[in-house]
Amino acid sequence: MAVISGKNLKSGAAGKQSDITTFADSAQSVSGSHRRKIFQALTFSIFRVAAVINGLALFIIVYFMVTRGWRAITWTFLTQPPMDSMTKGGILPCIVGTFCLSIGAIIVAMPIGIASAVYLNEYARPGRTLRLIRLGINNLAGVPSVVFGLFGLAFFVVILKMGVSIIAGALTLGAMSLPVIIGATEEALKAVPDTYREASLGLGATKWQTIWRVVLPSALPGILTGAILGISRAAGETAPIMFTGAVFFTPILPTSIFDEVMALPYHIYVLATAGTEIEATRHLQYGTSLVLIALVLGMNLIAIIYRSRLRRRMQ
Amino acid sequence: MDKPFKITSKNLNFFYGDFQALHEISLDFYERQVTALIGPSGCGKSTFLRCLNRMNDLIPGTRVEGKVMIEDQDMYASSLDVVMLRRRVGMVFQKPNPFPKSIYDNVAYGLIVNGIKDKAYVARRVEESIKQAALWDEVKDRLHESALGLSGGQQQRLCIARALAIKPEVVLMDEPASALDPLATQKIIA
Repeated sequence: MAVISGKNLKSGAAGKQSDITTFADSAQSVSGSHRRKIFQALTFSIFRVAAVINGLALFIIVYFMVTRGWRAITWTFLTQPPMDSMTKGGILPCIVGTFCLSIGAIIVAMPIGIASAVYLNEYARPGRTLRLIRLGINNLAGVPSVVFGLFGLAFFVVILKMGVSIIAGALTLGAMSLPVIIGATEEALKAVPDTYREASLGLGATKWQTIWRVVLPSALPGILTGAILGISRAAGETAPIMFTGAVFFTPILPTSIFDEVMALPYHIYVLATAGTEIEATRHLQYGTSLVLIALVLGMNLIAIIYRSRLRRRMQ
Repeated sequence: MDKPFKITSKNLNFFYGDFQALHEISLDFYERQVTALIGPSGCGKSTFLRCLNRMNDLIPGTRVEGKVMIEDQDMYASSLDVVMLRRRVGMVFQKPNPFPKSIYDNVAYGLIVNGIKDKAYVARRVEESIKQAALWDEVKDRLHESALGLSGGQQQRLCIARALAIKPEVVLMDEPASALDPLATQKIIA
């Protein structure tokens, strides 16, 4: 790109010089059009570089994880609990724990988030109350994850006496992903054409029938994608669960929602900062990260496949 | 004319916010008859039509003055159930707006939301309505394909079939003619 820009610049300058002597006016316009072309090329390059940086960032992250962690990924690693002060063995309890916490967060946050968005977008009259609720949701989105963790500890674990458990962790993660789910759902609802609503109401459907039978099915692909992206983001968080659902070490798999679990992000944090053999367990840290990334990408992939299938069914 | 009036509007004023779109409209519509409203674009035909089944309720910041009666009921009385009103007064919109559902489900929709559970009856009404809208021969082999795959004109006739399926007493048609051939119009009147 840069080379082409250089050429344009040169020919632009040359054109300008030769034209000045004969047609002053056209010289002006010729150099103007060259300048615009250069500007075009320049802005394209900037956007292209920005896009490439994005792709590169993902590539580098995955490259590091894979080259450093792939040796750790063995059958034992995926199916055994950690052993010998977490320097050997596997991460099965962490995988199960993160899975339980994520599913729990989905169960908690999706119905509440979707219902809130339906209320805000379909029922609520614009006014002060609506503005206040929106303000609250936007601020909720800006609350740091560690604050959610402390809130979960104080409210779910202590006041509601849930203890450090899957349910407390899932509720905390759910609360954290609520603004994302509400935002995604509202966007999806706004994208449903008003003509669908009019057609349905014009046929004597009630508002609820319209929402349930026409609006929500049309918005579903967008809602699900947004919701799962929000949850998968939350699934990788350490701070909200380290006080509420995840523990340093437990070799037992959970049998109820009131059990405490290990979780992948917390396990990485523990191995990398508080383990007995930080250097010796590097490959385990990268291996765990690789599993976490695979889990999150896997969830996103499910969301994408589901969405495209729903879209295809509608067309 | 000794036919009774079906819908009567008296001194109807309509406002979009501060802008008054309709001024003192008094007009009577006879039962079992086609009444056409003609006028330049932007003169308020659609707005007026949408007053007759309270579709304008959906637009925030609008206001209605005056009276619209359907038979002897005031359409804008607070006791009137607007959902019931729209069952009686169906509407076909200016642009075809089928749901992103199958052809069959589009026509069955009005029946199902009105609580009809008899599947045989629904199937019969779907066929009758699509025939009435002169669309049957074109779609009878693909009733369970998406309505969005139809052409614009077919979509519009599907919307007419959808409106007819619930046997409304009145059908308001907002310039569907661009997509509708005279034959179909004839059939719908009959």
